[in-house]
Amino acid sequence: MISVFFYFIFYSSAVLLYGAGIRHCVVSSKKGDTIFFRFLKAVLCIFSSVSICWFLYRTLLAPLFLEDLLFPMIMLCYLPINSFFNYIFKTSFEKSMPEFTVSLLCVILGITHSISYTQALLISLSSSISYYAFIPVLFAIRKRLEYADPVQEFKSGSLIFISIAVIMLCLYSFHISWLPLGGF
Amino acid sequence: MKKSPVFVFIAGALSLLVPTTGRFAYGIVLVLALLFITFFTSLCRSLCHKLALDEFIVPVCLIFLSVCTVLFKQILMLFSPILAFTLDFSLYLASLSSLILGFVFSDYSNGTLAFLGSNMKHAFLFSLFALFFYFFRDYFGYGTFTLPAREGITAYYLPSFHFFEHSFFWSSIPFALLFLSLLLAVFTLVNRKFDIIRRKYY
Repeated sequence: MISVFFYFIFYSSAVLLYGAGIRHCVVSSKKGDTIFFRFLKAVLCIFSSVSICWFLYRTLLAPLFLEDLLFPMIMLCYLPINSFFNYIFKTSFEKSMPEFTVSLLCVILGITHSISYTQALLISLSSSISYYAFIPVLFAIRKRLEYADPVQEFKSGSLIFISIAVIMLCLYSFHISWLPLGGF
Repeated sequence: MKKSPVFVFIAGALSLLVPTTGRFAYGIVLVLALLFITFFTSLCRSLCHKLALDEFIVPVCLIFLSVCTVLFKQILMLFSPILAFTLDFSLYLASLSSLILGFVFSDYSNGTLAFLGSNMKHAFLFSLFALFFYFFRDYFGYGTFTLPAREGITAYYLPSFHFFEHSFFWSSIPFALLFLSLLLAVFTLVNRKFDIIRRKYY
């Protein structure tokens, strides 16, 4: 279970490999505040959605061979849960957290890639962690690039993309299938 | 301030073009999915306006979007189950991309036809950009031109340089990101030069 957890954070990161929330990461890295509350909301949303969806999937969709309806079912469950937690966080902490797609993609990723409820929960949570852990990294890179004062053409985000590509290559370098092909 | 369409395209490319397999055949399927989902979900939004369901537009459109994605996947499975299997998560990613959500929840003040026309025009323009992007990735990554087939994909080998062989980098996601960043830098450069010309002569 620990290997699965770390696999979806580093080696097969939801952001870097599956591309779930890569654009949101780039946009969110402009300011790093409220990240804890956003993460808390995402964890609560994911935990509730995966629990309900997994139960419905095992008891309703799988016995009737309707697995392909998983996506609309997740959407049906996730929408009220997300709205509920949005309302709670807005009234309790006076913080608006309109993030929607990233947690939803983590739930889909978790349920479609797992064989048990624990695994679904673990994959969804580790995917979410991979997303929220990547925002401070990008924030730091952004700050460094600001100090470096690059040429005008690279100020529009190009260097951020190149930095993400380099981070991806660092993570992929552990992949042994590079070796027989001679690396680059 | 109005956003430049190129920046919108690049934002869409981050979720639609970069994380998927760099094959032209998969690009065609994803472009068809984009057009299919944009068209029907835009129609759904128009219908919500006609039925005065303005308060429920977001949940209704999102659920309809998920249904459209499943419907497209089923049609794709009829044509080629291998393609549907390979693009499994990418189809969900595409349907939840900021590009499609941006189209569907864009301004509706000019009526159904104008809304649908504007959405489809932008979707077609993005499709052209996406096909160019996939063609480039296919050629640089594999030295091929691929088309969707019932057995998966059909590859046509194109004349290419030897350094494309035995190389993981050209077909990987980092290369797609690098290519995108270069496109963005070139666009910024061209845009800046045009701005100088505009300021000088107009």
